[in-house]
Amino acid sequence: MAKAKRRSPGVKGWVIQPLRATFRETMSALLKPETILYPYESKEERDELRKYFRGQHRIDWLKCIGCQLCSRVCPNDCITMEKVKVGEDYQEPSRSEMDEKKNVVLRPGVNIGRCLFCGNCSEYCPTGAWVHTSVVELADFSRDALVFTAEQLKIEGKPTKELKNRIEENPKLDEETCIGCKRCARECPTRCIVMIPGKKMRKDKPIENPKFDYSICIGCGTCAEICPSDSLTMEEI
Amino acid sequence: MTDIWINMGPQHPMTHGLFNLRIRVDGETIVDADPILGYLHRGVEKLCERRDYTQIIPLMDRLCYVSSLTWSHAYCLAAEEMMGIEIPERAKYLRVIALELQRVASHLMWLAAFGPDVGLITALLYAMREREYFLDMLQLMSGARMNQNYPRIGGVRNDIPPEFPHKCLKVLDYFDGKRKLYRRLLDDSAIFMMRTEGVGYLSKEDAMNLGVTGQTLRGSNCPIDLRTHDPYEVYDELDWEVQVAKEGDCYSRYTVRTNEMWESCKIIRGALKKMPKGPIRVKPPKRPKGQAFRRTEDSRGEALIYIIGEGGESPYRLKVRSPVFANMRAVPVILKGHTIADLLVIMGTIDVCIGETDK
Repeated sequence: MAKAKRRSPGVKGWVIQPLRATFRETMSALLKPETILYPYESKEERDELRKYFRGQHRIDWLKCIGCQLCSRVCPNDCITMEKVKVGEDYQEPSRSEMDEKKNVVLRPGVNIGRCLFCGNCSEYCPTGAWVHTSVVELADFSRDALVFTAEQLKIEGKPTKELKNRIEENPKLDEETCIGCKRCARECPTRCIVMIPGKKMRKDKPIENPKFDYSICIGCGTCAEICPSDSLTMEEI
Repeated sequence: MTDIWINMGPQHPMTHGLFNLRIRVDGETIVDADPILGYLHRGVEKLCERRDYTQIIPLMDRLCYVSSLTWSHAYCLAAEEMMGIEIPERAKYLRVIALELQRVASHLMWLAAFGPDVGLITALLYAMREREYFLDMLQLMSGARMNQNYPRIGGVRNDIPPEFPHKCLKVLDYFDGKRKLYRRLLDDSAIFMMRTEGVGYLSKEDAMNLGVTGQTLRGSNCPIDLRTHDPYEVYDELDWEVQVAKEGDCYSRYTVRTNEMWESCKIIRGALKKMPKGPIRVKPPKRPKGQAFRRTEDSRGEALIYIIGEGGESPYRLKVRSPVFANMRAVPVILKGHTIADLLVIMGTIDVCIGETDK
């Protein structure tokens, strides 16, 4: 083994230097302590930083359109879509859902026990309905208490008409196989599909094919998933 | 000579994670060592085959919780090379700032763990205190203190808030002011020198033959740093120096790590000054084809990601080359001839992080 040659620390290095360093730090710590009594006290700088923290989610029910994109981009499958009954005022802004007459809409609920707070849900939300609060104290005594239902995460902000296609994909139709069942038009959360008569005929009537309005399509892929004849595929813009 | 094997681990306060180091001793002297890995295997490479390209980024963060950003960044670089996309200039600067903040935080975490290894609890308290400020800066930047999920294929997740440069410079000034304290407490302390000087010698030839990378290699007088030798992002445009130490013992590995922290501060200052305005993200292709590998300078050495895409939504294969896994090969060579008391100091300077080693 090679013995390294360095300058000797000298007498000062033995005791005086390290002791001086720790003594100075002790004095400054006594005058200006770094630690705080956590639940009772808070530091101003900390509170400022908290604004930027990705904590517990809240979902703006008026902005949410129930497109299920969040549950698709989630790496841990912790988002479940729930069917909830709402009043009349939810119909226009939230174009979502199955049957408008029944006043039922889809809204996401989150299992915090599985969530890794990566922020993908809020990043890919087409309307910006997902909000991260700075709430971090989420520990609980049972696993059931960690499952937050859609009702618990509800906030009501301002409805928006702005739709952004963050997935950057659009559905494309294969007219050969389309059977004209209209399911895509019914399930589309943004109502960007209208059915128009196509070239193919069935019983002397033209089969109705979907026509997409790509300006309001969010690329959620619900139509391609629901299509019974697999005639819709998602393609990049 | 009797044949006695001693188990160090699988649970030991020195490491981040679980691994077993079996050592054969003759009295107090170590004759042979055998690191056994596999207690923390999670099958990350297999998991990647079932996730799409976006969902892999948070998974890569979890390879190593101490320096998570460097790993997700390495993955993003490899994926970008495969897809053949060039990211905007501002995104490159933002990534460099985030990477260097993470590097300082990681080295401080190492210092906090290394202090108790040599019997200095004071270092733990001070280093953790400083690390807090760097985690705050990462939070301000990306929204999370650890496992940030910040880099994206084609840029970064979000832009920095307007008050970030001011606050970051304040933290850097504070940290530079603490340099004197660490010199007095550790660098110049005779007791610290006695524990580390001449201990754990690794020659330059041995280090290169064993495939050792990172600070362990640079501590053995071999100035190889991928940030200058295979420059990525904008490291070649910024003004900084590779840290080397001649001797190759524990003390020189310590000085390389600590000097790197101040060097990282220099890089952040330069990047904040030079950062242009503009877009931060470009659109990546959804179903890429091809293969690429990219190596980066992780906080512990050379990190490599090899990725194959076959036109699907998720990669066909993703291979992770962990720096600590290769450095672990050098452990039996370094340990030979030392006493058990020196074991912790030597293992401490290698900076073992099992999360990325086992994958």
